[in-house]
Amino acid sequence: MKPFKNVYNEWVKIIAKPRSYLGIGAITVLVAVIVFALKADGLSFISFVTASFEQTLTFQGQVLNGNLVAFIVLQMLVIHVPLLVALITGDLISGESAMGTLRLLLTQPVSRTQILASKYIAGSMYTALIVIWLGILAIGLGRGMFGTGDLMVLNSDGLVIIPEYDITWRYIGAFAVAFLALNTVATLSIALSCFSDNSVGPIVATMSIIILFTIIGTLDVSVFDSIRPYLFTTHMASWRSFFEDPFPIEEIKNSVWVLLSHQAAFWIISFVYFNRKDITT
Amino acid sequence: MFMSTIVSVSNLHKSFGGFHALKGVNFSVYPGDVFGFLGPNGAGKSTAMRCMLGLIYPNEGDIKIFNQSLQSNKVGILGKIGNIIEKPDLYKYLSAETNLEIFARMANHSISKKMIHETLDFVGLLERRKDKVKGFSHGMRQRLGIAQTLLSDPDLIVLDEPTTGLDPQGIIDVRELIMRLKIEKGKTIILSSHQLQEVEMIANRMVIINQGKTVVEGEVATLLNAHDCIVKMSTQNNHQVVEILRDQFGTLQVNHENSDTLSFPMHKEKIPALIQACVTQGISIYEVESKKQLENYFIQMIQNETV
Repeated sequence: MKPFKNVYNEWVKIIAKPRSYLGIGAITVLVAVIVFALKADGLSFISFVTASFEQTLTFQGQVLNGNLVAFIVLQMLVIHVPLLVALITGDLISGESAMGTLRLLLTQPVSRTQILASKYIAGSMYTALIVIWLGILAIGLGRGMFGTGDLMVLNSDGLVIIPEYDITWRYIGAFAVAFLALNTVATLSIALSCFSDNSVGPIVATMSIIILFTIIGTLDVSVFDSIRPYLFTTHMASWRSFFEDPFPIEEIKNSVWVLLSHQAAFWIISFVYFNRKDITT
Repeated sequence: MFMSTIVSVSNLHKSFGGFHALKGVNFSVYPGDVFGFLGPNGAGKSTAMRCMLGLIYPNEGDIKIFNQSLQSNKVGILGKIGNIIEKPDLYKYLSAETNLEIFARMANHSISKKMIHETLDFVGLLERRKDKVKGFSHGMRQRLGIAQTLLSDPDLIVLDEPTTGLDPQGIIDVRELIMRLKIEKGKTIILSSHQLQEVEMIANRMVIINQGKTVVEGEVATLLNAHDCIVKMSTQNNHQVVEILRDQFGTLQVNHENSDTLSFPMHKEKIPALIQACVTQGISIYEVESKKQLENYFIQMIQNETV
C-alpha cells in the first residue's frame, strides 16, 4: 500500500500547485483560439491544400469537419505541449530541493528509489491528464462545432482520405503515442531535476535538449544520418503515422521502442545518481 | 552498569572534493538524553547530523542507531527518528493539516486523522490546521515542523538549530516544547544550537566538535563542574574586593562589568570564604551571583583545540 500512498502524495502536491493549471489553461485557450479561427476562416485555410487537387479530384461533403479540426489542433499543439509538461515535471525534484522539503522527504522511512519512482508515476499521470484534456478539447470541441466526416490528411506521400468509421481507433492510437513522446520529455526533465537544486535549470535544459535534437534531426547533413533515427525528437511526431494508409505498423513499433528506450535510460541514470546523491542544500 | 546506546557514531569522515568536513567525529547518545551538539560555524555539526539521517553518505566511519547499522537498515531506522534540519521547510502551498497528512502516509505505521489533530493541538496549531503554511509566521512553521517530527511518535528526535531566526517568545515556546518532549513523552533528543544558554538549560549530555573532530563529550554538569564558575559581585567597595581577590585568592583576572559590578572566575567552593573575607573587612555586599557558563567553557575548549 505504501507505494500507492507515495504516488498519491506526489499527486496531491502536483494538483495543489497553481502552475499545474497553467498547462491545462494554456491548452484550453490555444485550442479555443485555433477552433474559433478555423470556424471563422477555415475554408480558405484548407483551400490552400485542396486547390492543388481540384483538377483531378472532386470533394464532396464537409471537408472541414471535426476530425480534420482535431488533427490540425493536434499537429499545432503537440510541438508546444512539451514545454507545458516540463514546466511541472522539471520541478518535481529540484523544486523540493529549492524549497528545502527534499531533506525532510528523504528522512522519512521510504527509500529514495521509491520516492523517485513515485515522482515518475505522478509525472506520467500529469502528462496523461494533459494529453487526455488536449484530446477531449480537440475532438470534442471540433466535432461539436464542425460535425463529423471523413478525414483528409496531406502526407509527404500524398493525400490520404480516412473514412469516418475508421477514425476513432486511429485517434486513440495517436494520442497514446503522443503520450509516450510527451512522457519521454517528462522523464528527461525529472532525470535532469535530480541534478539540480533550482526549478528553472531542468526546465530550460529539457527544452534546450529538445531544440538541439530537433535541429540535428532536421538538418540535412549526412554526418547526423546514423544518429537521427535514435533521437527521441525524431519520433515525437510519430502519432501522425496513425493517419497513414497503409498503416505503418513497423514504423510505429520502432518509434515506441526508441521512446521507451530513452525513458529507460533516463530512469536508470536518475535512479543511480539520486540514490548516491548527498543532500547538502 | 552497561547502558545500551541509542546512537553510536564512531570515526566519522566526510570529504566534499578536497574539503574534509568531518575528520573523526565520535559520540554516543543514551536513552532519555537531551544531547547537546555544539560547535562553531563550519565545525561539521550539520554534516554529521545529515550523515546520521542518511542525507549525506560518509566516506568512512560507522553510525549505529538503535543498535543497527544505518547503512544496512536505513528505512527501518528512519521510521523511528523525527527531525528538523536547520529549518522546517514544509509545503507552503498546502495547509498545516495536509502537510502532516503527507508525512503520515509515509510513516511505517498507520497514523489516524485524530492523531494528526492531537499532534497539532500539542504544538498549539489545531485552530490553524486549515490555513496554508505560506501564511504562517516563522515560529508557527517551527512548531509545525516539530509536529511533523512527533507525528510518527519517534524514539529519537534530531533538532538542528530549532530556534534559529525565532523571536524571543518563539525561542521560549520551542524550548518549552523540547522540555515537554523530554518530561512528558520521555523522548531522546539530539539538539544542535548556537544558543549555548539554551543547551545548558535543557541538555544533560553534550559533545563539542570543532574542525570536523570531536573535542569533548560527556555529562554537561560534570564537564562544567570541573571548571570555575563566573562570579558576579556588587559591593559597597569594589576596589577593596579586588585586593582581597588578589591577596587571599590569587585571582588577577577581574572584570569591571560596570561601575557597581565585578566579574571573575572562581571555584564554587571558594565563594563562601570570599563572602566571609568581605564581611570581616566590613564591606557591604549587595549582590552575588555565580554561574557555570557553558559559553566560557565552549570558547575555552574551542580555543584549546585551535591552538
